[in-house]
Amino acid sequence: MITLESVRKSYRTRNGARRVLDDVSFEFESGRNIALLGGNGSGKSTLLRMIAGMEDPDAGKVTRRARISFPIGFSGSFHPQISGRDNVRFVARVYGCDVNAVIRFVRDFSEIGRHFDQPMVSYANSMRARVAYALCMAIDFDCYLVDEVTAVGDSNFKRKCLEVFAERRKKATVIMVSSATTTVKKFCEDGALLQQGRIHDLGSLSNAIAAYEAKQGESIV
Amino acid sequence: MTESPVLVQARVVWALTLRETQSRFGDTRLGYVWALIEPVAHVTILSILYKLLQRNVPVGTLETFFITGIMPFFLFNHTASRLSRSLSANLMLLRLPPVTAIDVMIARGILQGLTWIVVFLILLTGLTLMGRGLWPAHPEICALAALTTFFLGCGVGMINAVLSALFKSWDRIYTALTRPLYLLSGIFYIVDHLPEQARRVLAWNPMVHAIEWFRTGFFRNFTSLTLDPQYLITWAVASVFLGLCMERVFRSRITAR
Repeated sequence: MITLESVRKSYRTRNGARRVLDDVSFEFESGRNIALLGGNGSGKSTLLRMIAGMEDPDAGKVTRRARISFPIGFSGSFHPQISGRDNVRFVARVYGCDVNAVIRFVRDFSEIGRHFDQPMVSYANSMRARVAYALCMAIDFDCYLVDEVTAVGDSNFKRKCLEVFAERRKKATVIMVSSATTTVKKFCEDGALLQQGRIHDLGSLSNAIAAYEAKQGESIV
Repeated sequence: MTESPVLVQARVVWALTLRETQSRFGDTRLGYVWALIEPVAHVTILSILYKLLQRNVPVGTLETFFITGIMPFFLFNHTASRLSRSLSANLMLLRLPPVTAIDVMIARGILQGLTWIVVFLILLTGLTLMGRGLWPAHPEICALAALTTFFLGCGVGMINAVLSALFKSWDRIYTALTRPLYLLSGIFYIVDHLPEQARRVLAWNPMVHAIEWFRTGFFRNFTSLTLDPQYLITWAVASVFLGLCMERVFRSRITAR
């Protein structure tokens, strides 16, 4: 579904370049819900953005053969000067969806009422997050990308998020990056470790968690 | 279920074009009107000035002579400046995976080009209704000249968009550098009528060729010694090529802001 071929990527930090992927080849298979575990600064988010196509690798190739989502809850592509409705309409058009159906879904799901027709600059953070979450769920992606966030809002809204996400997951694949081992268990059966520029595929998620926690323990000692 | 990249891009460009239409002309409504007011104001002021000075234009009527100077000039200038700012104005859209910098620029170009055609037709229709109208003698030559000028604007705009992403002050430098273009492009005079020395210097300015070429198509009895269409075409092709290359080379730095 998604193939990484000899991908290299580093990003700049205050302490110089940090290598995220060092000549990595990896195949994300359709139907295989996989969690990539890695500590802070291991480049999980960069890796996910590269899978999404929001960033190019420094070298190598990423091939996508399915409709891949942007990371769930990502609201960075909203234009602040236009309304939630117009932002949603734009994204729906970009992905070639039934624009009215998407707008209806987001309006009803996000529960932001008349704010939906106000410029997004006036939104509270939680409103933006709800619109962004709903938008990602309104589009029929083959693969949903998750960067830690699986639900937004208060506890009621979070429950709603998880319900709809579970529904989407039946027909789609989930690729998740996380540093917390608790949330990934709900969505993924398989796991891998992102470590020092490599992806170590450990098969089952429980293996990956065990290895990850062992590693975390090491670094604390 | 993979979609063809061409289809995806067409859809993205279409979505962006609709968005641009709305955000440029939807906020104030003045955008559309301004696109018409600006050339009308220029033509009116130049015409009044020439009447007061009791000067004559070398070819056509006062209004059509100025229109055929102003409109190619604006086509270049406005396309270049709309494209220059296309990336900085749409950074958040570029964060959406299927949307690329090229898509954003194509969308702005399409909108700018279509707006120009509409404004040009309104101007000629308006003049005709006032009983002073004149229509292109060779529309195909006008179209070719306008298209080349449009591509020159696109190329320069693309180069500027990348340069402004790299250097914050580039936009201002470019504006200052090209300000004299209005005077040096033969909008309200004909380069052939200038002293040989001046004519030779101005012949380096591609906009001189854009305007002379456009006038050659518009007026039945207009010929130009200075005009070299190939020179303009070379500029247009070279600038688009350079713009595309620069976008490719600096792509990660454009979107990483």
